[in-house]
Amino acid sequence: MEIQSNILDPIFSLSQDLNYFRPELVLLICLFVCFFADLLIKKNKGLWLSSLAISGVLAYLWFSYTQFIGLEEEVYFMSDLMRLERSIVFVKLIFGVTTLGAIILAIKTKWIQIPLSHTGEYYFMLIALLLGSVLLPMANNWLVFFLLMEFLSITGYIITSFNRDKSSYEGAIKYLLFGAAASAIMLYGISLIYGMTGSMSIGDLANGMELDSGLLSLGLLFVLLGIFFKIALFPMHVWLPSAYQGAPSSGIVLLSVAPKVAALLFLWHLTSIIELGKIGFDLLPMFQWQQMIGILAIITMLGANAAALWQTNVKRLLAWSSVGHGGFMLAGVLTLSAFGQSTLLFYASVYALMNMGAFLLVLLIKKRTQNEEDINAFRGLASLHPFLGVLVTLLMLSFIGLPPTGGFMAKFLLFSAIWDTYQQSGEPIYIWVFAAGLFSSVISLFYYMKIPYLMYFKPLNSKDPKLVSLKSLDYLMMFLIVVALMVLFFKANWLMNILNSLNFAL
Amino acid sequence: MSDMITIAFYLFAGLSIISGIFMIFTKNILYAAFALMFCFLSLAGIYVLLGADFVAITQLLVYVGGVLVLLIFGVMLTVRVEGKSLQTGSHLKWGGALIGILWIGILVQLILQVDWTAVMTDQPIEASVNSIGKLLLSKYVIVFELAGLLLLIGLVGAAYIAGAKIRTK
Repeated sequence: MEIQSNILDPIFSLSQDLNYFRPELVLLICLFVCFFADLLIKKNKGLWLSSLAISGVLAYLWFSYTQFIGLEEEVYFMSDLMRLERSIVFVKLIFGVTTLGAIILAIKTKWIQIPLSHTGEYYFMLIALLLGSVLLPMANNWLVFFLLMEFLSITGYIITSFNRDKSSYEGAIKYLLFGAAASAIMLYGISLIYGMTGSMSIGDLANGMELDSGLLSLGLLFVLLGIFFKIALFPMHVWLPSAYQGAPSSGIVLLSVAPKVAALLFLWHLTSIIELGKIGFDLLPMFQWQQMIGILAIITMLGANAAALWQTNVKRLLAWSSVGHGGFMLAGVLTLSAFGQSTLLFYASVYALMNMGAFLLVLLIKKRTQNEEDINAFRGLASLHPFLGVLVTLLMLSFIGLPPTGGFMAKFLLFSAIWDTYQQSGEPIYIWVFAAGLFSSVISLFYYMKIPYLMYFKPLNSKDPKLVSLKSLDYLMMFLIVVALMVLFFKANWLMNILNSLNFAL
Repeated sequence: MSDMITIAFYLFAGLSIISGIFMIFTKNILYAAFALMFCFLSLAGIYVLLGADFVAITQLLVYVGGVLVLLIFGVMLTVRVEGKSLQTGSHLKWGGALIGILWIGILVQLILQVDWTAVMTDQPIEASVNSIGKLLLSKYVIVFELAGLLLLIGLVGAAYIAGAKIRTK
């Protein structure tokens, strides 16, 4: 009996740590409830499942909120495999709201794309994706990190293939092949890091310094490539446009925000360890990680925004724009200061909101053109729906980063954080990132404004069917998103005060 | 005794390299699969020599027992009815060879840089299955649970994708 209690001791102490997992446990319960409800309920299935999923996510939001209030400092738990700090709990709230948006959009499509009998699986995957993205920034161990990256990838592949048509499978198979290659590279990197440090803990990276070999840097580079795949940054972004084109719009609302921001937060943690541990990340001499990430951010921002200029499909355009926004947020990671993290989280919140609005728009025009998301579907829409025209124009202004929208404040704050870092360190790479960011914002003006231009200045094509069903609910959702974006402009300090009050480990 | 281990190591290492090279150059996909099996088997042998008994067993169970049998069945079941053997082609031969050689060069150079004597231990090798089992259900229990959840998600997704006929517009 004595031996048994010895074995059980660590389990009892771990069960205490489950308190930190309250929001995630709620999600887990919601996941299984959706799964079994799909099997058991026969009547009014869509209604039941949607309300179950929404109430599950609302409960999750409530528990995240109480966690946000209760948590004071960074904690390590589950025998140091996981960690939690207030910035992570803050993104839990962002992800929760985004998931709610995704579910509402899924209800709104009325399962045009997905037959009713599969709503259960769809919600299952959305909630699993949310669960994975919530857990990823908490990882403090390479094993947990790798499993969660796979978690996000696999749910991503399945959501992408959910439409079950040709373009959907094409996008999913591209995503899968790239993802498998990225996972293999990342796993190789993790094994190199483990070989050098002798520890699976991410905090023990400095252990590898005594061996002083390029192998540790090589391992870190490979892990970075894996993370870049999840954020969809150059050179691991190639899968993204096809995947976006094929995936259901409601799925991308979550898919383009949650894994991206989660991986960015993890990257933040990793780079702060590299910086604090003075780990020479020097595969090539005179080439610190700041230079490397800075150059990749510059290429991503300029390349993605230039590529978006040629797109005529709205979803592909939004895909490239999402790569570009990923580049902006990567530039935020470079700052590695408390102010920088606040601005990064501000940017992420604004981006999540804008994205929701954009894909609502995609759904609206989809009805008009029978599944062809051609940008010409916007022609002359403003004369039919003047109010929608105003809302869309404001949304696009936010995407570009012009006042009076939250997008302006997000970019303004991010650039001032980069400028501050430049002033402090004097490294030339920051000024280049700054300039590239400004320049790519100017490029983005041309393709984002294409949509309002088509709406206002092109005549209505008489062959196009009219926008049949633009219900008041559509207006209301669009209106709420745009109002939220404008509130983030006029009262940006509300959110910034909350973000500045987060306790940082730095 | 240590001479025997050294000889065994070179035997396994040579076998894995030769079967790996054969796998790359053969055109018949079934031969490639069998070469891959020999490669996996000799790798398992190397793991045993390194004292990683659990990794060796897992290698046998998962790769030789699972992945390869699936692969060979897949190849045999999809061979055309005419009885022609399945051939593989290769693209970008020279580019691939260049990247491969470059990559081997970088790795060898980096590995030679490391001062491996710093991490050598004289501790006797013990069977690790027991302690791995205990750790998986105590310290690393969250990893265990996450892996279980991941498998469930994969299963649901696979059932969804496999259960579909491609919808025509």
